[in-house]
Amino acid sequence: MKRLPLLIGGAMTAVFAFTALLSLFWTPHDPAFVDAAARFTPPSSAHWLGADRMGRDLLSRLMAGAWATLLVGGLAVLSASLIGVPLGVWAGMRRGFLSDIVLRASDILFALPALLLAILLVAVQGASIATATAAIALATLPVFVRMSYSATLAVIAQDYIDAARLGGAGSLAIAWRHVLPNIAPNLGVQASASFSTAILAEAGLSYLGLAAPPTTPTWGRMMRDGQTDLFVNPWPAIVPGLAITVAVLGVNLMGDGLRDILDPRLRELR
Amino acid sequence: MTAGTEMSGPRGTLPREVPSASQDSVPLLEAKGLNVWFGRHRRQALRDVSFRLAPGQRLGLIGQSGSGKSVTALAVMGLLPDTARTTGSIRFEGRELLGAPERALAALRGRDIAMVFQEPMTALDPTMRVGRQAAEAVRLHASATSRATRRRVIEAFAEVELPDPERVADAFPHELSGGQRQRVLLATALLNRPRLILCDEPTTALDVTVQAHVLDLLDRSLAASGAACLFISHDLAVVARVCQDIMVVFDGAIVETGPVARLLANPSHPYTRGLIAAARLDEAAPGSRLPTVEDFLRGTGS
Repeated sequence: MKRLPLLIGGAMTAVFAFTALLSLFWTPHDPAFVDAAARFTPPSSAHWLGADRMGRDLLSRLMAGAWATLLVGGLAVLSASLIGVPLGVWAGMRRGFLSDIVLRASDILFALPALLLAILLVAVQGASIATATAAIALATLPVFVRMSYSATLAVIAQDYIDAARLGGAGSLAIAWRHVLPNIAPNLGVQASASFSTAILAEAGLSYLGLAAPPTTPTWGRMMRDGQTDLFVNPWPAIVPGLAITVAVLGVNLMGDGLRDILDPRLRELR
Repeated sequence: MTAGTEMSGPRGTLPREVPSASQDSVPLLEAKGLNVWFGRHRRQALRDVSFRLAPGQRLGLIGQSGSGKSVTALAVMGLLPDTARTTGSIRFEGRELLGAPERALAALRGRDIAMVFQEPMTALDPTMRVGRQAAEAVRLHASATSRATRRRVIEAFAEVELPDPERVADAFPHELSGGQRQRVLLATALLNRPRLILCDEPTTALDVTVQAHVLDLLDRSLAASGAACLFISHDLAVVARVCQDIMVVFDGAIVETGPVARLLANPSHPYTRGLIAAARLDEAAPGSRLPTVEDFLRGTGS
């Protein structure tokens, strides 16, 4: 039963990712095609999830939106961890004036809300997928720095690090062969937690029009478009809302399941 | 010959022709006036510690926890944290180790000086197969192909009587018992045929029967390789099994040193007397309170 959350979460995440990838090759309709006759149709055989106020197929837009969400969230978490983890591990192994500066800088970044960062970046760079990704990555970065820093401190105190150093291994070899494998479980759990936050952030930013341009279908923008007719025709707003919920829930469940299995404190018991 | 038969003698039945540290022979390891302070408050951990270790000699370093035993070993290894300040001199075969460049130390460690740690669980990386970990020690010091390295590792595992060494080499640390892990560490330490092995309470984490077996293995391995040993412990019986000479550390300073037999028969420092009295349960009157080391430190011991 312990693996149930991981299975359910993993399945939900897999469906989400598969849908996103599928949208690159096939959608039931063109997500941007305006079919005036289909305005506000409820779910039907022609439009499985119905159509929005402009007669665009909701399922097709949902699938295309999944890709945008996956792209922004995935790239943001990937780049945040690719920059943050080496910085955190380095700071944990170095422990000096320079590493203190890095850690304090990451604390300052922590204090800035992601939304503020995004507005700032959009003001300078203009709204685009790249800007949204950069803003979310920047907001996620300090989480990875701090997490890998503290995890490294715990690992670096172990005797096997001394043993490796005695064996003549350099800092880089120790970081790669001993520190990273040992903090990998923490990283995996943190990555999935950050990914679900990034999905929400992307939805929020595109809802505000701070992410992808209007021509790109995103879940946040779909909710914004559907909001105007929420009380008359709730479908166009409910569908992307449910998609966001399912994606975030799936990724969170997966993260929880991963933690249950990978938690070093539980590993010894099995 | 099995391990059991060898353990029958009071201090092992191995030849002990290796001389005690005589003043004229060139010492393998020599510490002179070693002082170590820690942290901002300059708490002194070692005070004017001096000792010498001849090639092949086994010196026991005994003292309470916090007395500076491990600090001595870490200072020799150059593994003290950055917050430590060290003065004095540590020479290995005449070469000064204190202040030596990291690269020179790295070449020395593992090859000429090896260390066996106290906690076999934390001394092995939980994410790495133990065979690979042992092989790392070889590969960093000798250019060997990985198949030859693996063969050497498995031979070394067999030498410390690990059952099924091939299987052990492919195991992760958590799949091994405490005694097996400590034997893996011992085998790893011996891999490069070092001339000095530092043992930091290598049997403290083991139960008594496994402890006897590991000590016996250590005894034989040292005899076979002719390596010297600095053996850190707070257990007199353990030190007496392995070492010829004992050095007693108390509050960061060496208070007493000499051959095992003399020191056990005629201890001069109260701490040493306390340790011996606490170990001689057969001399305590039945029903009376057992003697503790503190009694002797306060001067109330008999």
